[in-house]
Amino acid sequence: MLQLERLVKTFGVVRAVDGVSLSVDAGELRGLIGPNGAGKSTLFSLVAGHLRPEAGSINFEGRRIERLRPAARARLGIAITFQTVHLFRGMTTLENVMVGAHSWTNHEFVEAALRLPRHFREEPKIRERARGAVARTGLEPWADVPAESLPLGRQRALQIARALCGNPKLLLLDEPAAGLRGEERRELSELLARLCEEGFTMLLVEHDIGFVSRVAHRITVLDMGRVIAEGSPAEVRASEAVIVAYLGSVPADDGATSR
Amino acid sequence: MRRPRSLLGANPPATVGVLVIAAATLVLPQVLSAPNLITYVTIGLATIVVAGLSLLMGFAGQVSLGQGAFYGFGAYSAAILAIHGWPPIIALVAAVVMTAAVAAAVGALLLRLEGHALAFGTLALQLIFLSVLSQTPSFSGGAIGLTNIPALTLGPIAISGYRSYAYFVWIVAAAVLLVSRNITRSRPGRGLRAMATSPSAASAAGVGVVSYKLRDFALSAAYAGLAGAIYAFFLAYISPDAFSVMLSIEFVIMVVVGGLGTVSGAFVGAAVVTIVAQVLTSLGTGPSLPAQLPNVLSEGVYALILITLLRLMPDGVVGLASRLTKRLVRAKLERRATLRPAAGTVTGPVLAPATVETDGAHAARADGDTVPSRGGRAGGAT
Repeated sequence: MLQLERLVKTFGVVRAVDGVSLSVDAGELRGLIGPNGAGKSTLFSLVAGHLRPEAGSINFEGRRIERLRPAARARLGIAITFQTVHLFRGMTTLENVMVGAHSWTNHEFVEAALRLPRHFREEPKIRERARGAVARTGLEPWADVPAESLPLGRQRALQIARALCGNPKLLLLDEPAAGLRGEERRELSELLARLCEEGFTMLLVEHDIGFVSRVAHRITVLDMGRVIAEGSPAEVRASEAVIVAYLGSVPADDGATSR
Repeated sequence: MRRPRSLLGANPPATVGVLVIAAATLVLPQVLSAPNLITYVTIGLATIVVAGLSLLMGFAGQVSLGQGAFYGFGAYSAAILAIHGWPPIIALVAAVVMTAAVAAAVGALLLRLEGHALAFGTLALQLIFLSVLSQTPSFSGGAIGLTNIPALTLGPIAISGYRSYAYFVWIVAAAVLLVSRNITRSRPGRGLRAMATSPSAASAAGVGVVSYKLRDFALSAAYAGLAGAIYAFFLAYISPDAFSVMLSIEFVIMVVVGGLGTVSGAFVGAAVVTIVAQVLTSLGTGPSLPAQLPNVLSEGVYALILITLLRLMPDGVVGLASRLTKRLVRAKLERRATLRPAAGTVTGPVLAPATVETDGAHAARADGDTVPSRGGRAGGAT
């Protein structure tokens, strides 16, 4: 579904992403991990469209997308959540989620201003889909409160709900567990597992190897802008290159020690 | 989530408000004196411009110091077309379309700028407009302006006299406010509001940020062009003096006074600033007073208003009012919440049945957090 080929992105003299190739199959939950500065976030931005690569290509369902704007990628079915929560302040949770529907709806200013037929056709669908996404992420009690008043864990859930409202084929998640506490973390991994069962393809960028190991099918490890390992969670955690680069001297026994 | 419908619709206070305002607009033109009618029409025109500028400032987050130019462009377009024999109403509509088209063309270049740079870019637009006027006397009448603008007719009905303009302007203003409201409560409106606080998240959600900004800019210009065209027919005489840079600044102040991005704020801002300006003019005009006094006075007072507002109530009069009501409602809710354990009020199992307890705790926390957290949590957006 998603193929990255020899992607390169440099900032000055730093090769943040240095020839990364990677392929995500439909229905797969792929983890992307690496130590700080490994190039995870840069790679994420390249796929999301907030950065453009100097070289290499990104194929999504057989289409070259590396030159498309983020909004165009959203229309193809790529939805993202941000590492630092990006909310639309002054809008309720439900309204925030409804914005996600932009990618599959079309009515424009004139149609909205004059209340033309397409407005009436699309609005109820948007609302219905948004309510569904709000329910799936457990945000129903907060649907009508200002989004900025939610606790952090719920704000992260809201980002996922907004992404789901876009009807995506591929979900890109940038450190969705960052700053969450134990209970919230468990809820998040349950939600991801459920989305996986429903057939969503996901690329999960994470710092926390324990969290990724619990949910991902396969894990790709980046270091210094290059892929240093790829495989099942168990394989990756056993890899010597990963232990040296990522964990340093900490033994990789289970998730509890990684944070 | 369907609310029961009463005779007054989904939102009774709003419906009552609309009815009161409708009654006032029917009655006021009958009772106001001629000078007051002029003020009344002026407020209506300013409301139209401010409604557009508020869509731009409140949603695209961009300040335009060139709204006076679009107002003037609409006025001159309508006047020139009507003088050349176009039916006035067609000239009026054409003026609006032309203003929007010019804004779209200029905006495609100008909107590459942001913030202060864009504000100065639009200010330059205003200055260019004024110098074009002074350089094309054969066409635009130059410094003298255009006279003999034909009266506005809608088929058989001629709109002439202050009273009929008082009705006409407010019908148009109501239509414009309805359009604004329709846009804000729909897909494009949500896209605009999203863009205002986080353009990157908006674009990731599929909002075409660049084209939305451009449409918003063109729309706000169309509003200004519409008001300007009506103004030209109303006075039957226009000159460059009427479209000074000060006018653009006045529009911005009206938006700030009324509150960004609120539909009712457009009217409040327009009314307050227009009336303050009138009072200042009458204070500053007298037999022994210097001729520039009204201008100096109003500039000083505008500066004072702007600084005070931005310091004390950044979301304007309407924003302040709605914040106060919200605070009252919240206080009432909190009092009710303390009487009942929060966990019981949370609806439905959330991610797992076992989590309901925690969610209740969150609900209570969320309630308590709403007051001070203006984007303070979680790093907020952008």
